[in-house]
Amino acid sequence: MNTSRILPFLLMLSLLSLVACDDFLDRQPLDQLTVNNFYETVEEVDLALLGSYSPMMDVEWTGKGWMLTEIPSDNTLPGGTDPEFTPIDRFTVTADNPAISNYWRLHYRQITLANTVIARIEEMTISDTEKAPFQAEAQFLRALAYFDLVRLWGGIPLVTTPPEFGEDLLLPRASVSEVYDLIIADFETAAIHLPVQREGQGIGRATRGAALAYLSKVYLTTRDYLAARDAAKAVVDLGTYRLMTDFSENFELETSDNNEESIFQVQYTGCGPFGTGNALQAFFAPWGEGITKDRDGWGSQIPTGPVITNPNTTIMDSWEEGDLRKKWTVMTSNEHYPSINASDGGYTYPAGGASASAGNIKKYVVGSGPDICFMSTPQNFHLVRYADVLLTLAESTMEIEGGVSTNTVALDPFNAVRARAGLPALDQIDRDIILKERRMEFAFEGQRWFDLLRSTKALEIMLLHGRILDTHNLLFPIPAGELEINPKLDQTPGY
Amino acid sequence: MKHALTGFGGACLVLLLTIFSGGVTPAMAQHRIASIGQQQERALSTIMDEIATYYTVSIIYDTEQLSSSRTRNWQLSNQSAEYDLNRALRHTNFSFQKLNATTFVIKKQLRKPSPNRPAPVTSSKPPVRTINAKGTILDIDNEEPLIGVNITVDGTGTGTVTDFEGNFSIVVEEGSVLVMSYLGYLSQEITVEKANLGIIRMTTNARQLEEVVVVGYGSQKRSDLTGALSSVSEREIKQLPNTGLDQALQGRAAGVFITQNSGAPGGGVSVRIRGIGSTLTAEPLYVIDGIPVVNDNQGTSSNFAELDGGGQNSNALNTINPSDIESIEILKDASATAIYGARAANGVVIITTKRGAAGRSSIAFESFYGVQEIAKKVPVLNLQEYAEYYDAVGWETIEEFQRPELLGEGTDWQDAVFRQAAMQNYQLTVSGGNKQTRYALSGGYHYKEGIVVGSDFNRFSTKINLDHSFSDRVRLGNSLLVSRTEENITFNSNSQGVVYTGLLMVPNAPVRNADGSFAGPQEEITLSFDNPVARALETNDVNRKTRLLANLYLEADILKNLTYRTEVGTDLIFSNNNTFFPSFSRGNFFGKSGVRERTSNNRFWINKHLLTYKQTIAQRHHLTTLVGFEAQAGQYEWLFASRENLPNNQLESINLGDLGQQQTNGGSGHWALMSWFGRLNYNFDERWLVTGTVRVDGSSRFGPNNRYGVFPSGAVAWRLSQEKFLQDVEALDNLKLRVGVGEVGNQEIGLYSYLANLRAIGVAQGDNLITGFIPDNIAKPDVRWESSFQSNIGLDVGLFKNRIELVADYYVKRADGMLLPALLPATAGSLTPPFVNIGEIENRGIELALRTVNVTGPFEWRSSVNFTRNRNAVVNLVSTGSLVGLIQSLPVTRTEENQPISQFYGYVMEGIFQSQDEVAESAVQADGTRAGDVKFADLNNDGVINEEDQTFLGSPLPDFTLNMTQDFSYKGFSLSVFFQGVFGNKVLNLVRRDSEGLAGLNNQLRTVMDRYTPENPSNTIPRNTNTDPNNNRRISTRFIEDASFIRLKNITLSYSLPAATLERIHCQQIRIYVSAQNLQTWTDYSGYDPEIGSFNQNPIINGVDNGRYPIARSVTFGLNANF
Repeated sequence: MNTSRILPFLLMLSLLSLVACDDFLDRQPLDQLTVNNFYETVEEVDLALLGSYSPMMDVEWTGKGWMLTEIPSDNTLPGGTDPEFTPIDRFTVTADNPAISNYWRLHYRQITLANTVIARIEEMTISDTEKAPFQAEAQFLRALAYFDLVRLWGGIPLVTTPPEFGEDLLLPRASVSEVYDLIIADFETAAIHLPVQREGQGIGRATRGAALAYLSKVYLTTRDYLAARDAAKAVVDLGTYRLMTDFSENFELETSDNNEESIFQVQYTGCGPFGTGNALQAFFAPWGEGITKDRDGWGSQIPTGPVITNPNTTIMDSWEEGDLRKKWTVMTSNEHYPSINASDGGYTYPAGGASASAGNIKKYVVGSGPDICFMSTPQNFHLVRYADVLLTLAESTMEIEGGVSTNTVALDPFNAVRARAGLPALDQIDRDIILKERRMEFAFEGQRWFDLLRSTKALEIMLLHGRILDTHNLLFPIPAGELEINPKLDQTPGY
Repeated sequence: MKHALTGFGGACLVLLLTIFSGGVTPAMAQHRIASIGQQQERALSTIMDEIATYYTVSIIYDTEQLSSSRTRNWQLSNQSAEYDLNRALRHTNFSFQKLNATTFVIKKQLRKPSPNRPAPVTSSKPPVRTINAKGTILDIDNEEPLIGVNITVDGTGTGTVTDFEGNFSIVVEEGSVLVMSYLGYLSQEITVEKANLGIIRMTTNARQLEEVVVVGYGSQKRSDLTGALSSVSEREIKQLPNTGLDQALQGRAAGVFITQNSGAPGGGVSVRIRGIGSTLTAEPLYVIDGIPVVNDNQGTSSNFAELDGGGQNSNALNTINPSDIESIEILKDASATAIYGARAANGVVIITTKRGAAGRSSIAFESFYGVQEIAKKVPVLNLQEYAEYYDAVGWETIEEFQRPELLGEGTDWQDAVFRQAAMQNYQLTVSGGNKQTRYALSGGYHYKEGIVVGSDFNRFSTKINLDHSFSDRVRLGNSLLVSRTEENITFNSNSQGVVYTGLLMVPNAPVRNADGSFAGPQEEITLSFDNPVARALETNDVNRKTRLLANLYLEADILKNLTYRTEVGTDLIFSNNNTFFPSFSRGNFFGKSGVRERTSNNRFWINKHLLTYKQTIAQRHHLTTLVGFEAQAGQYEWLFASRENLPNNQLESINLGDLGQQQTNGGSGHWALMSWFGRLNYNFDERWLVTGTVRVDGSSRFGPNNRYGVFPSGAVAWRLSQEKFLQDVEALDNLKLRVGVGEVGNQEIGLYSYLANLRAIGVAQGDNLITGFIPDNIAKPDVRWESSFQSNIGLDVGLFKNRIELVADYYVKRADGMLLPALLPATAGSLTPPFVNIGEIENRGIELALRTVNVTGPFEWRSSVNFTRNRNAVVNLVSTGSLVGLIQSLPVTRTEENQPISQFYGYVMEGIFQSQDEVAESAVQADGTRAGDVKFADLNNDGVINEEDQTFLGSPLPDFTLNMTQDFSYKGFSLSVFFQGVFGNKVLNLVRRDSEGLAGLNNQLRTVMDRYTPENPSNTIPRNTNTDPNNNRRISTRFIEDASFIRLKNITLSYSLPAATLERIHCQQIRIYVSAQNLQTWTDYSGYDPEIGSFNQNPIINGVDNGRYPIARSVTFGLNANF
């Protein structure tokens, strides 16, 4: 080879090397979609919406997050010295409590995911009519998250756009009414544009009924009782929901998921990747009883750690004689559950109980089986049941009438719930009666603390439970990490 | 530099000379005759070229001497080489010596070169007996004969040279002194008292100035270097029976701090060159035979331990067989590394494998066999003591514990977890070739059992390196390394790990039941961990890797001074990680069986084009210019699958698992880098050296608006020893001052962080899991590489014929624009935050490397010492405030502004509360604080012990390191002793949170026998308590220990058979040795081993002992033979 032959070859190589280097360096992700090439078709937006349901599936939302809405109340009794839950129960909670910061984080995550979808849909080229149901679904998810937050923290930062680098992402608290304005606007839009029923794979996603039911709960909380009654009435008028014949059907694995009483549930599948199943069984089941076929639940004394929670004695003593709900809400001496570990002939709760209050929470404890894992059962978690709508209808009517009602508009739905529980009808209801009925109906479903908060009787009832509260205890502290990053945020007064 | 010119016949010599000259291919000069005028004055070296070429012989000469000597009117005679050499050298002061038919040595003329002839009588004294003295001169290191060694009779000027076999004979008077001198070797004297002088071993000049070292995209004479560079030789690499080459570097070079993050065979290593300069990754770039490799230990060496919340990854570099390595150069400062631009901020390690040399074929066989064991056991309670402790804790009564004196010692779990482990290594290397084609082939097998049961590592590796010369102008060759490794991993570096729980397992539990099955602790004793031996042996976690690293080059001399080189290389890694855990039930523990499998496939290619131009102007201006272009790209895919509930524990195949519980996942990615670079070396009169480098990198990791980066550097060196005013200083051989500055980058931020990516997420709908998509991160389109400004000032000193050599460097590395994840409020959605260039971190330090030759002669003693002191400070974290290092969700370190990186953070223990009164008088700690609990310091004096009383508890980084090697040799024996010293570093002994925690039923260290009781008012060990209400176990100074250590890292005694014996058995060299590693460690650290390293190479988690796999003590026996 001589020079004259090498040189052209070299020239060619160096030319080749200079060609198209920008193309060479442009390496788009192979296993990741990017914002630039997504949110273009209806199907893609649908997948983005589906993804926006993920935060509420997280164990820190419905699992440990459940603790934030039940443990402060008079329903439960955490034992020992669990660093997350005991302070919540004792009202010594501090701003660095992980359960609190996780709950806050996941709710804002859901808000962010919803905001992203809302913003991207704006940019799409499809017609407004096509956009509307997707926008509505995202707004539903956003409002749902804000509704939890505003009840537990009061005024909070109001984020309505997706985060972009370079923008000011540090927001101060908005006022409580500003937050409710957004929640109501979102649920109202959702109530207009969401489908009445879902089919096929869409079953379980937000519907008009869910938006209306939430709207009624929001109005009940803001004491706009007329609007609450109208919204609850609108749910009834949809005609798509009914009370299940047996209360137990709402909590038996076979019949609970997306049944006719269910208006909105957190969807779960069992034994999937962590966070795709319902984890509450692990929190509620008694230790050493072989229910979950694992090291078993933390609902009673376990040798290596504290109890997560038991039913409090006050709720154990509050059942009326013959209340059919009791068996499916708490496990008590010698109670037999054929469906828990049915292949072993069912499960009988030990005489004398397996916990300090001689009982364990039954709801969401379903045993073990091929699709049920220790911290991951396929049972959906109820957020709103038709019974809730009926009691809201009763309560709002009662409130419109000044706090006591004998009106059938209030009594009929109320007595329907009682009848299903095997209890006699009442001919007059008042605030205390409804509050008690809600407690027995929704015990351990994450409603009690919210009910107490809006009842004006929180301090009084908590005193009976042995907790001397100050009004600041009715709101949670803003997570410490959040305050550190965001100087515009003020800590909840009293913390 | 001594230079060899070869014709086709002198192949054997080239073998030696190329080794000696550092592997530089001898220049060829076959067709140059025509272009050279015949009547001009020409350098002797040019003439030697012609003779060598024309007669195809080898001529050895000193380039410097012969290129400065000239002669006129010489032309080829076409008679014979001898004839032409005679004519060429006639009027010069050089003469030649014919060594064999095709080899000549040119040397400066002695008064009368007279080999084999009686020396002239030089004194008038009565004649004394003359002796025909004979001897053989060998290289002390490799026992190769030295050819052409000058032997002069002291005071006479007469002498001879050694022949091809290293033999010489000379007739001298009895009692004369022979002086042996050879370029690059230390001169040696011997008094002739008998005829047979036997074997004389000459020692290389420890670090000869003429040595050629590999630098980025080329090589340079060491004397021409302007940057900071350390070399580690093959000899040093070989001394330790290491699995990975990075381990071999430990303690060998100043400024390079290496820790074995795990003592597991094939375990992870972290290499920190001049401190930690980034919070992303602080590992250097490796260049193996021209192929850049990032040892990120992530994609290619994952094991499932990490899925369980901890564990140290294995080491991606252990696919490379250390026995194949010729040399390792560590480029430390920016002027040396800037040629690697955006990936050079953490330093560059260049690894060169062995290549063939023309000459006699050589077959080398190396093997060793060794035994390893744990260097130290940690004293824990035996069964009697445990029973007493158990009763004191006051749990459910266990009948047999009531009379502890009747109990025996119980199970020694450390004996069960650790074992004596074997290791062996075999390597066969064949190399050789002729002037046209040279080859080096090797095959190796390495097997190392781990000292923890159930862990081992094996590697089959092969190497094929070829070089071929088409002509004197075009050369072609390749490197090919192929290896297959298989690693059995036990779960460690975690509180559920085998080493950790091996200390905690209760002594009343047997390892196995009578039927041979694994036992669990009895039901009453509830522990949060299982039988560690069962976990180690039953779980089968295997990581298999196949790696192919290949590089092909073509080099052509386009013009006389212009060389073009192109390389095409690839790095392919196929890895498969397979874990099987059987179903089991013992004690309180039961689990179902499962299989997890992960395969990954990494592909990388690189193409380089380099042009090198060398020119000398007016004899004093030497210019070397390099311009290059390089394109490289990598791609990977991985696939994960798992199933559970296999029908039995006999077969471990995934297809047998339960279909209903299967999971799959996968992913892929790709990246590219395109670079242009240039370097100019200017050497003025061997006195002033200037180097300028610039590299432009375009990286796919950054967005279109910030894709390209420019990395310049410059350095100047002044060789004072070449100046006239220092010429007279006899003792001073070398004095060089180096100053360099430059900017380099770090681009390791993941592949697509400038884009807004989406993430797939499973969402339950009905009974199905459907994949939805959510935003994954907040994009920052403008993100750019971390840049690091580095400056270096260095001094090289050589004294007394370079018997004392000192290299001293002072450096400052300042990374501004360090990439940190932006700190965003949760209200922004907790998406992966964007990386922003906001941080600043600084490392400054001093490095000293001293090499001395203390004694020469038959007994020789050489020493080498290196010292490093690095100071790290995080200058700026801007809004991030602090970075917290977590191990198993436990905050252990904190990185904060104006503090060194990754310090331990927690409470200060003041002592033990001696009474309830003391509790009452002190700051409030917790509800249940009692006498006997740990008293923590109320640092802010607010009367309450809370988070605000935490402070920095010490740094895991050493104040300084000092390493020392002493080499002794006498006749065939040599002894090498290597001490490693690390001083001033702290370790957080996390194991003691449980093993000395006094808060559970797990076994405890024997130190708890001195715990606080009212009768024994200890002030160091708290009381025992079930619930630990005071949280005595919080991270505090209680668990911080001084981990300074001095370690006798290696001691090797070897014996080389004498040449005479070798000749009889037709061997070139046989060396046998016995070597001990980590024989003794002097330290105050109470755990197994003070060398902890970083957690998965994480720059902000260092020195946390979370049940780290300890480094073994081992003894190896080895045999090396060359045929």
